[in-house]
Amino acid sequence: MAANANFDLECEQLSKHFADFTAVDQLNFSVEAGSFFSILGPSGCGKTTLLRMLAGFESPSEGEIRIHQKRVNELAPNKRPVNMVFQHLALFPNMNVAENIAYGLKRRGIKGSERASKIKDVLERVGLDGSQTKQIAQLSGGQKQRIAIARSLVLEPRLLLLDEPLGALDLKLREKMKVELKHLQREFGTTFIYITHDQSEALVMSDKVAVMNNGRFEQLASPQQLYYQPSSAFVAKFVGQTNALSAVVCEQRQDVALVKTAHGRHLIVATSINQSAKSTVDVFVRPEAIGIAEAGQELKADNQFDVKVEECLFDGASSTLVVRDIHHNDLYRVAPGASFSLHNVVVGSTLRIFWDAKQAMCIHSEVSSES
Amino acid sequence: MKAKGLGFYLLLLPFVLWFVLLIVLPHLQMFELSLIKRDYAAGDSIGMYQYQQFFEEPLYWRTLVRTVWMSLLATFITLLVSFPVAFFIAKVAKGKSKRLLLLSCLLPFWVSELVRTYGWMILLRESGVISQGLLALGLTDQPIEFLYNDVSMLIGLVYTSMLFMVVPLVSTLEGLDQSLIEAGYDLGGNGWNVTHSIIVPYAMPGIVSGCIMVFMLCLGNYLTPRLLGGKDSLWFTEQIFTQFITRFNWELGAAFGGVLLVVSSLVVSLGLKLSGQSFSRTLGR
Repeated sequence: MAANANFDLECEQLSKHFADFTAVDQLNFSVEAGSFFSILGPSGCGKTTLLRMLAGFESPSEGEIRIHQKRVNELAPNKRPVNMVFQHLALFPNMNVAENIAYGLKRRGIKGSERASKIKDVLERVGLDGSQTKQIAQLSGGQKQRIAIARSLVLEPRLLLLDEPLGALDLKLREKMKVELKHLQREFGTTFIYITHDQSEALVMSDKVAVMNNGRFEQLASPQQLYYQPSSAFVAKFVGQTNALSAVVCEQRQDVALVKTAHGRHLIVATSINQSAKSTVDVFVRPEAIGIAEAGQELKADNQFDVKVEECLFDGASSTLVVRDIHHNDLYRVAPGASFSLHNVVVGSTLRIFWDAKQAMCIHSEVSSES
Repeated sequence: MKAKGLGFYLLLLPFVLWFVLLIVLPHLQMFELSLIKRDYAAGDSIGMYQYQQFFEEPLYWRTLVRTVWMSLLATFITLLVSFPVAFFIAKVAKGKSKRLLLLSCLLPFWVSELVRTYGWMILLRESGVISQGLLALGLTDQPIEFLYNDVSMLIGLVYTSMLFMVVPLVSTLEGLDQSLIEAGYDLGGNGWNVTHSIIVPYAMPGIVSGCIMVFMLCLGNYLTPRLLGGKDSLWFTEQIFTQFITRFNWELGAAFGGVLLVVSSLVVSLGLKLSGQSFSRTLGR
């Protein structure tokens, strides 16, 4: 990988082995300067180890980390142009807000008056000017979050590493902080590397998301690409809600394949690669891609059949129906959205569901991909 | 308010008995005793005569000053020695080795203080292990006496007090979130910065409670200074012992006891004030 000035972080063949397992397995990736980069994965996938290697708390077993074209493998955490926002924020409880922010500035040898003005400036930017003398215990969850970010950003790092800092907040505040973090990142222009197991956080905030599993990146792409064109079954299942059906390929014509599900329903689905006949695939259809109509109605759609409602999970705009194929017994989750009213839907009513081939996709199934 | 039941008072009774019979009563009697001046010709009189004696005789108050000073020194050395030990036990050691280490701090307390102190005497005396060892190695041509000076006495005091410093330190340091230390490094601090501005302030309640305990133990110690200290290293408790037992001057001994209590309370409250801690926050946990 050639050194490129546009990249704030480059990792080459980066691995971390512990005694009996490999946490991070030969990763190659680079992060563009000024972008919001998320690493999304289930717990135990190695994302925390990766982040700790970037911060310098773990040393890589193999490979190289370059920050701004400079190898940092041997650099101690306190010498790296990288700061971290910890999962539980790690604000120093014995210091007030200003002292917390001043800690890093003092280590840089920045003198009193300049320090005070920098603190004021960064607090203004996170919208908390005037709270300099407050004790940490007096702050709300969201305020602590912003102070932790301010404490790191005041040092103007090349990279800000964030270790699931929203995990400890309640749902409402988390939703709010997602947007706020994205705005802060845009305003400061610092490269953010954010790790999370929450796909919605990653999708909402990021420019690029890497989906990580078993120490490797399954896919590194924009949130839209991840959602609409997942490259592996794992990504399709992990990012967003989806209906997954195991099926066997019957035949393929150009980019459309005819497949037969385990329960015998024939479906027409899009495929980007050639599938050999008789091979087993996973078919994915997003709940919101499935249309709903009245039972028995003939529609212009590649796939359509009647189903029976098994469960109605009413939740306003994000309601879901769990329906079962009347003839072939497959279960589907359907998100009706605004176009279909749930007024008259009860458990046991029959409906017709439909979708076009291009709204479904099939991926060659991996034997060991089940998690 | 609901009236407390019989059970409550029964449970409270042992504490009240202990407190009144063993603490309040003896002290009151000691205080009464210390105010009496015996005079067989003119009869006993009440006054501050005994306390006057204490301030007028340089040997008495100098012994007290020296005792307080040496106790403070011993407390400080104990803190310096125990802090790394406690940090290692609380933050570095894991699982089984952690329990073993803590247990090994406790181990010396399975034998009596007397035996422990004799252990040091076996090591340090002129014909002792260290002296003979040096002689055998040819590092010295005659035996050296390591005993009976301030250094040997301090060694003994620190050794006796370590556990009482390590335990409160371990229990506070265990609550220290590892990520606070990491954050300290991450924001550009070195080992000294992290220790000085994060770990020590966090451990302050433990430090203060350990120091109070060790200081009081040193101040009230009798055996160690007597056995390991030199001829000129008189300890204030020895003075009290002398008055009560040798000279049979209970009145002066009682006054000394009172003075020791007041001085140790003053030193402890001064220490609390300087470190910004409160008594209930440190020892009351």
